Amino acid sequence: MTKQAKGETLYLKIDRNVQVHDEKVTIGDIAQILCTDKATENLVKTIGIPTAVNGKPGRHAMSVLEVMEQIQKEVKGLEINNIGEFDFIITYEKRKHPNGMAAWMKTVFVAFLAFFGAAFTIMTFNNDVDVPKLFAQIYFQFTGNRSDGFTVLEFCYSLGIGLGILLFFNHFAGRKFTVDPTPLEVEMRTYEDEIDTTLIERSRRDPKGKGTS
Amino acid sequence: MWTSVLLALIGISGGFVVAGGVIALMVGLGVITRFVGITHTAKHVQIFETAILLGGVAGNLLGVYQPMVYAGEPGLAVLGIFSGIFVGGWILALAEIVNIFPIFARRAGITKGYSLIVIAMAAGKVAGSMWHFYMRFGV
Repeated sequence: MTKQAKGETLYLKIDRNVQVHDEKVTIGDIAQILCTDKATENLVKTIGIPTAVNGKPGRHAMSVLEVMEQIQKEVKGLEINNIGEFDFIITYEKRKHPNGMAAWMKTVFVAFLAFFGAAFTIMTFNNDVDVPKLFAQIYFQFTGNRSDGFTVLEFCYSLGIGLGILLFFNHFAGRKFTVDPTPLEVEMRTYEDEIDTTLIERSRRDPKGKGTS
Repeated sequence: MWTSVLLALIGISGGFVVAGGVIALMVGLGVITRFVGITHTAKHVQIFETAILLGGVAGNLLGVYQPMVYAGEPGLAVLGIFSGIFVGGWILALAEIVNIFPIFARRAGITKGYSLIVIAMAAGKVAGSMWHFYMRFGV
């Protein structure tokens, strides 16, 4: 079965986080490959990595050395150049698209959570720093009359908070011609990267644990 | 005489430290920088520094000496809307520091409609704040 490939060079590039949707992971699923010989390239793409996900959905940390080991088993004498990551994460998800309805239900649930949580926390904040007292004092300084507790000042402040949140998240950016990601998208990405780094570091510290989450 | 000198020294020192703390918090939270980024006005950043300085001094005078300003209802509206926008950004900046949104989205597996959550949050803040003042809580 093993193929002789003396004098051929193979370039291997694997991204930091690759997604697969099948238990049987082949090198073609996770890596970009370039070889001086087309036939070898196609053969390498079909080589399986049996240890990749162990049939469990989730994130699995892996070293590029394990991939190289599998290639060397099948193809002898090949020179392999790794131009991608040394360690990477394979994310194994069973379904490609989660059920649309269920996904929306979850979003609606979190939206409710966000709504009432936001309402609760702004009340505790206003109480905590005693905004009503400060506003009553400012009202007096601006108009010379005593505040009745709900004036144009409180009304505009309340509206402003909502505006500030929408502005802060650059919420209307999608309607402009810019393709910049919104700050929330950037934050999501940063958080995912941190998770990947943690998983890889953990798998290095405990090689037998395989860094599975 | 010496008491006055001592009090002046304490006042100046306190002012220095508090000013440093306020600026550190502002810079650390990145509320101003975020708004500057959104409006693409980074080249005027010195104007904003001056504005922070003047705003800090004005707010301090307003609070400590409590002068009559007579800016009337329009003045109140301007103060309210701008301080509200700032507090809105401030709240989210705090929430961002503790990574609430990404953790929640990941744990709950949110895949659709992030914008709905942001809108719900903004609506919640407005509703909660209105309710709080309308019911005269804390007065």
